This record gives sequence, structure tokens and C-alpha cells, in this order.
Amino acid sequence: MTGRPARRRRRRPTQWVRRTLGLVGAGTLAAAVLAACTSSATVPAAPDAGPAVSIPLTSGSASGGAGWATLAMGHLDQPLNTFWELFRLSPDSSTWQLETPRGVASNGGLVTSVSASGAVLVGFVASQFLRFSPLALSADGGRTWQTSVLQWALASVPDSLALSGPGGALALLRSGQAVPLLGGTSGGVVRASAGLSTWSALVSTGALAAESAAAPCHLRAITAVAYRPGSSRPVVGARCAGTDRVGIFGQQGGGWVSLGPVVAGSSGTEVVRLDDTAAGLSVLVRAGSGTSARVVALWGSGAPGTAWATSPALPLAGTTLRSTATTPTGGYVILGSARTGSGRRSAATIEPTSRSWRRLDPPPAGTASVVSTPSGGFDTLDPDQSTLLVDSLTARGWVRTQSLAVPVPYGSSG
Amino acid sequence: MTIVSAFRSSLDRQLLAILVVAAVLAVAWNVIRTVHYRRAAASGATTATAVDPWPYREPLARRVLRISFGLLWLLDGLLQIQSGMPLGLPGQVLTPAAASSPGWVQHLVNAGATVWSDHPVTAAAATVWIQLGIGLFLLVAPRGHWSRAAGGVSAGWGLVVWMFGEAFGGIFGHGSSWLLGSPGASVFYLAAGVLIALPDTAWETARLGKGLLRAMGVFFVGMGILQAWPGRGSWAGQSSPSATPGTLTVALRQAAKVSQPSVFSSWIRSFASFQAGHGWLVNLVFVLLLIGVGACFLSGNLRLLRIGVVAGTVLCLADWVLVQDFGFFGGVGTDPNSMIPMALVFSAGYLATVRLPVRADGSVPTVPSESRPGAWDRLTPAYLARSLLAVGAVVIVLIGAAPMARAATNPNADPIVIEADDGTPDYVNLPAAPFTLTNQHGDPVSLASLRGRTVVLTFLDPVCTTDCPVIARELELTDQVLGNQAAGVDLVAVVDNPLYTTTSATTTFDAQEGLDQLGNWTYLTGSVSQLQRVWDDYGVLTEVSPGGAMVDHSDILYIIDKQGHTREIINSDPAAGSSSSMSSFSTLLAQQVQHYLHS
Repeated sequence: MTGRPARRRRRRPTQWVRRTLGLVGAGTLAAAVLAACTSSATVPAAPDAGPAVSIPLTSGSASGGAGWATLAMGHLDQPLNTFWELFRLSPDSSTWQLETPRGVASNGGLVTSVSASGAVLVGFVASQFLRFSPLALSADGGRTWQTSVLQWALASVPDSLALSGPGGALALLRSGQAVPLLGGTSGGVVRASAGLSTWSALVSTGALAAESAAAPCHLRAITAVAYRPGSSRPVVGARCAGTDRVGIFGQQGGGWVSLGPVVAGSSGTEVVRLDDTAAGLSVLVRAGSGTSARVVALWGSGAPGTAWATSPALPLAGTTLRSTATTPTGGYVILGSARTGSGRRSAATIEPTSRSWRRLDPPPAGTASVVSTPSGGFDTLDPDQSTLLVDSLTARGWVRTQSLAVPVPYGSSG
Repeated sequence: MTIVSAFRSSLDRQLLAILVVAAVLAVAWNVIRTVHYRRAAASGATTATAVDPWPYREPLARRVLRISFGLLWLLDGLLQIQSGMPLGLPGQVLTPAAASSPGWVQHLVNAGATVWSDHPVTAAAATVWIQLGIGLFLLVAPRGHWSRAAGGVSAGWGLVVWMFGEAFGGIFGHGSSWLLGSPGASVFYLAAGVLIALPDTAWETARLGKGLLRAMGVFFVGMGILQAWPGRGSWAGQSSPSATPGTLTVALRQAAKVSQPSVFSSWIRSFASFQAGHGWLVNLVFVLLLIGVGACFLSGNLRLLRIGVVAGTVLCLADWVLVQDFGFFGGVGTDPNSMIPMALVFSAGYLATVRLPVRADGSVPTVPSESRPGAWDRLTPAYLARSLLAVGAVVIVLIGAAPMARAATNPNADPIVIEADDGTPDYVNLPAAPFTLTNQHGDPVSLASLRGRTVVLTFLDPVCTTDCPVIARELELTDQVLGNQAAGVDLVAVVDNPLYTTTSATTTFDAQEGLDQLGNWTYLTGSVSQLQRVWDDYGVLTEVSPGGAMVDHSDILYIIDKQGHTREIINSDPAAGSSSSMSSFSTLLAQQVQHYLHS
């Protein structure tokens, strides 16, 4: 009677121990196999978050009688020591000057819009803990600035701001932020009718995509905003997927109409620049992707039924677009760099009058931007940490014309 | 240094408490022995009858485990006294351990790291005493319930350390390797604790030892397969300076850089150099040895088991010295890594197989019930001493665990975290400079109008990208910590940027930070001249610089009492701006404000 329970007591623990040890061993083996499997797993790439992925923010314009350029300086491999700067080339001078508006850290980027009258509106792309975009407006070439704030974050594309003659403005907002005014987080465009203190909704990306006019475009994102030349009517440029239709839309009545032409043979288009220029509405479009990618320039009035003048396509195969800039006559100059090897720079320009791309001499290594001067010449801008190196295009090729020390405020952003 | 000093002070205070407990236990010893003697004398016996309740001595395997892991816990506890632990452990040990693990592991480890970061002094001191207490507990309790409880406590703490401190030994991460410590040292502390906690009957036969060795056999074979698995960087050395180095090459180079006696680092460097040139060969040797040792353990053959134990021990020692670099150098080494505890566990398995306990007379001695001595009479001096020491060990564990448990449930970080960066508040008693500015709604607000309420006054740039949003969040947290008391407090900020002074800027900042949801929040602005006067009165330096710089300004905060007197000036630089430092600042500020609310 007493022996059986005693044996059971002895046996139970050993059986339990044996099972447990077996489980430990099996578990360890499973963990080893699991670890082996997890080590070879790949992390999926993040989805395209918005229009800022492929359009270079480095840009310039030659309008309002002056040249303007924005580019990053400092230690470009360190986000907190990268500062975006605004430079101005006045018509009566051959030297560039630093005109970055003060009072806000510019680590996130700068966006500019220059009106025909020469007024310039600068927006700070939100960075770090700042989730809205301060603005600065100058009517005197950067000598004095009037500040205001946009309650949301600007999209990080060169034409996310548009300034109208009467003082109104358009702002393209980054997707992914809650904008009650636009009823969602898909981003979109807001406008200020007079002054820059009160903003109202123009259109959200979702609402524009739902317009029948946008159906052929398969609209993915709004990438640029502008005013129709000589009017206060907004025009927006967009990225279209799987189509050869260029996404340009103008507001008419209570809705939107498609203005964009077809770029034959494209399987997707993206408006890179959209500018009110001396030639009317100038548009720079990237069409296709991969080895078939190319850029096309368009000119038109921006009115419904516009007859677009279209440039030949400039192949971009193997080249990354690094900067874009407008010319005084409404053309464009673009800078690319080879994706492989030494990253050799190449530049090309096009004018609405000639409508053919002209290759410029290969810019110097380190060039971040090629811009047009008010007189119609070309300068390269090379940000060498705290020094801006400027080369001008002459009959002898690129010649160093300026070396500008820039007080890059290292360490000031944390 | 503030936190290190506080850590030392905390250890000193807790040591004093332990000495008091030791004195109490000594008195208890004396009292019990005296009563014991008197009872024996009263019954006419010169000595009490002592009955050993166990039929045989403690099995050798169990004793090896108990004593060796007791000593290991003592060593680990002493390593936790290093001054780098309070601040260094989360960033240098916990988070890196989980870096290559899946999100859920990182989440778990980060939760532990946050508790440690929020309460660095309490956590570091707690770890010292818990580990010293467990070590002592294991050493002084050789048999019975006390001993099994010591095993259970050891296993429990081992599990905690394995999960939170070692991220499960990296078994879920990329590139985990037996050579580098996977599956973690603590899993062997856990296993040893479980074995010690087993009932005595489990040790009576060879089944436990054989089962343990079989499990270790599966483990070694599994680790060998893992080590041989292609694509994990195990087979690579570094054939040329431009080539991507293998996993072991990188680890060895890092180990060689760790602060340690030069003789050890030279060994590591030499082996690293050899491994870089012969990565494939080195890995092949390790793979073959791992699988060979595992096969010996799985065989069940005594001769092969002996060979496996010897080979496994040599392999472990070689890895411990040449790869794991002893595990405890560098200022934040928490234990001697996995090789020693692993070798102890499989050695115990071998001993439990070949050295079984022998019953002295085949049965437990029995005493007739009518003459069975009472509890007092069964107390031998040795049993009493061990019992009291075990009680002392439990108290030591509790001296560490109790404050840690309390801290873990406190969502607010200790004020000392931010005081370490910003210093302690300056106490003053001066009339606060008056001002009248415009609030975010466009209404005028004067400091005088806030009389009768405690005012927290600070200076914020509405378009600042770094410090000001963090300070704003700290003020929101302060409001939460104050709870209902916040009704008597005004949180007031003055614009600290001469270029962005509009109410549009202040309201946008408020919306960004959710401050517009606080009923006691006021963000004041005015003309530049008005603002400059306030900045001057409150010693706020404001500098506008070119080149895309944020406005440089002082991070400073004033507590103004109900009578309008400035009582404290606090440096409000958010430093790292981590969740711990933010929470710490808010706790500090709330505590200071509470003082003036009640005064």
C-alpha cells in the first residue's frame, strides 16, 4: 500500500524532467533553425511615400529679373549638419549672394517661388520635430523678409509653392499628415487669397484623383503647383501611373479639367516642374521609367484647350536627375549624374524658341546645380561644405568665377 | 557623475540595511541557541537529538551546480557594481543585444530598457542585491525547501535577465552564433535553477543526467548546424582589406578594442588575425567540434559521454578566452558570458549520470512518534545557521527587488535623470519682473493678472525644430503628473524668436504640440521691443544667425509663486530628449511646483 505511491512519486518527476528536457532540446533546435531562417529573410522596401522621392529639391529660377538657387550645404552625409541655402544673383551683379531667410533651421530643405514682379516666397520644409512650414516673403530681393507660417508641412518638391502677383499663394502639402481642411491625409493643395495668414482648401490629392478629368491619368500624387499665367487660376501638376497622359489640371468652375498632353510611348509621367514664365506655363515632365526614362519640356497657356508646344525627349537612361532650373525665357536647364562609376555630371538646356535640347559642357565634378543667369548664361554651383564654388560657362568651357564663404551653422540643430 | 554618486549612495544605504538585518539575525541565532540549550538542559539532556531528515548526502552534480552558480551569481552581482552600469546598461548592453532581433523582441527589451533608463539608480542597485542575494541563497542552502526555493529564484531571475537583458540570447536575431554567446548565458542560469529546484527524487537515478546530456546533445548539434548554415557570414574571414568581413571577424575585432589587460587583447588580436585569414577553416573546426560533442552527448555511451564532456569543456574554455574575451571586460560586462555556465550544466549532467547518491542505510531513519523530538530539538547548529543565512539571503534579494518593483510600476522617471544633465534647480526669492503681452487668442495677459496661481514661465521659439517642441511635451507631461493640482498652475511661454512673433505662429505651435488642449496653457507674444524687454528681465539670450540656423536661445524655466515671486530657476535644456529625460524633467518640475502649490 505504501510502496506504490512512493514509486509514483519517484517516477513522476523523472518522466516530467525527461519530457521537459526533450522539449528544451527540440525547442533549441527549432530556435536554431528559426534563427537560420530569419537571418536570410529580407526586409521589404518601404512604399513610395509621396512625390518627394524622385524629384530633386535642388533647383533654381531666373525670373523677376534675378537668379535664384536653393541647394544643400554643409556635411551632406549628416542630416543635422546639412543646411539648405538660398542664393540670389542680382541683375546688376555677377556674384551670388546668400539670402537664406533667418530664424528657422533649414535642415529639411527650402522651396521658393518667384513672381514676375521679383517678389520671392520661401518655404521651409519641416524637419526634426517641426511639423509645419514657416514661410518668408521678400519683395525687395531678400533685403527684408515678412514671416508667416503655413499650418502644415510643405511637400519637398521645387514647385510646392506658387506666388501670384496680387499676393495670393498656393501650397502643396506633404501626404501622410492630417489636414482637416482637406479632409484626410492624402495631401493636397491649399491657397491663401491675400496675404499669407489665412489658408483655405483648394483640392486634396484624393479629391482630384476622383475627378473624372483625372481618370485617364491614374493620378498618384500632386507634384507641383502654379498659377495660370496672367491669372489667379491655379494649375497643378501630377504623377500619373501607367499612362502616356501628362497630369496637368486646371481649375474651371467648381471642378478640374485635364490640360495635359500625351507623351507618346510613356508608361507613366511625372510633372517635375510647373512654372509661370515668360513663355507662359512651362512644364518639365519625366516620362517612362528605368532605361526608357526621359524628360520632355512643354509650353502652353495653361488654359483649357491649350495647344502645347512639346520638346523632343531627352533620354535619361543611366542618369539621375540632380537639379532643375528655369531660364529667363521660360526654358529649363537640368543637371544629371551617372548612376554608376564616377557619377559624372551632365547638363542640358532647352529654350521655348529652339525647342531642342542642347548639351552643355560637362559640369565640374561636385556640381550640385546648374542654373541660368538673368542674362541668359549658365552657372554651376558646387557646395564644398562651407564654400560655394561657382563656375560660369564661357567659350573656354566652365571657368571659376566665385568662391563664396557660407556661414553654415554646424551643430546648431542638435 | 550625479547618477554614479547616487548609485554609490544607494548601495551604501542598502548595505547598511543589510548589516542591520545581519545583526538581527545574529541576535536571533543567539536567542534560539540559548533557548535550545535551556530546553535541552531542562529535559536533562546535554545535547538535543538531531535527526538528519535526508537519506543521503547532496548529490555531487547538484552540489556542483548549486555552488558554481551561486558563485557565478555573486560574481555577476559584483560586476553590477561597476560605475558604468546605471547609465551604460540600456544603451550599451540591452538595446544592442536586441538590435538584430524582430520587432516584438525589441519592443520587449525596450520596455525593460525604459524602466532601467527611467530609474537607473534603483535598477542598478536592485540588480546588485538581487544577484548577490541569489548567489548567497544558493551557497547557504544545500538541501530541502530552502535550497529548492533558491533554485526557483535563480531560475526566475535568470529568465528575467534572458528576456530583458539578453533579448533571448539573440536566438531570434540575425547572425546569432554559439561562438558569440547564443542562446545567452542566462538560459543556462535558468536551466541550472530549474535543476536545483527539482525534488530530491529526481537525482536518485541516472535518468536526469542522461536526459540533460541528451538535451545538450541536441543543443550542440543544432548550434553546429546553425554555425554551418550558409549565408550567415560564419564561413567568412576577411580575405582583403576591402572585402566584407565575416561575423566572427567583426566580433573579434570589437572584442580586441575592449578595455582589458593587454595580454588578453593580444590573444584576441592574434586569433582575430588568424581567423581573418582562415575564416573557412576556423568555422569548419568549430562546426565539427560542436556536432562531435553533440553526438557524444546523444550516444548515451559512458566512454563517449566522458569524451564529450572533456572536449566540450575544452571547446567552451577556448571560446571563452579567444572569442568571448571572458565576457566581463569593458565596464558594462554583466557576466562571464555563456561558455562557463554551459560547461557547468553539461558537466553536471555527466555527474548526475555517473555519480549517483548512495543511501546510507537504505531508508530514512525513523523515530517512534511518541519519542519524536519537536521542532526545537531538531535544530542542529549547522541547520540553524544555514536557515538564518537563507533568511538573510532572501532579505538581500528583497532589498533589491522591492524598490525595483515599485519603480517599475511608476510611469514617471526619477528626477535625477535630468538633474544629471541640467543640474539641480537654483532657489531664489525675488519679485518676478512684470510684463504684459498678448496670448494666443489675441488677448492681453499680464503677469500680475496671474497672481494667486503658481506660474511656470518659459521661453519657446514657435518654429524651433529641436528643443522647444521637446520642452512643450515636457510641460504637457508635467500637467499630467500634476493631475487635479494643475488647476492651480499656469503654464506660460513667451515667444523666443524675434522673426516669428505672430499669434498665427503661436497657435500653429500649440496645435502641433497639442497644447491647445490644455486649459492652463498660455503662449505669449508681442512686438519685438516688448519681447526684448521680457527677455532682458529674465536673462534670456536670443541670437539670430545666418545660414539656415535656428534662433539660438536660452532654455530656462522659472517657477513663480502665488505672490508673484520667482522661487526657482531651472535649466530646461532637454539634453537627449529621450522619453526618460523628458519624463524625468516633468517629474522634477511637478515636484517643485507642488511644493509652491502647498506653501
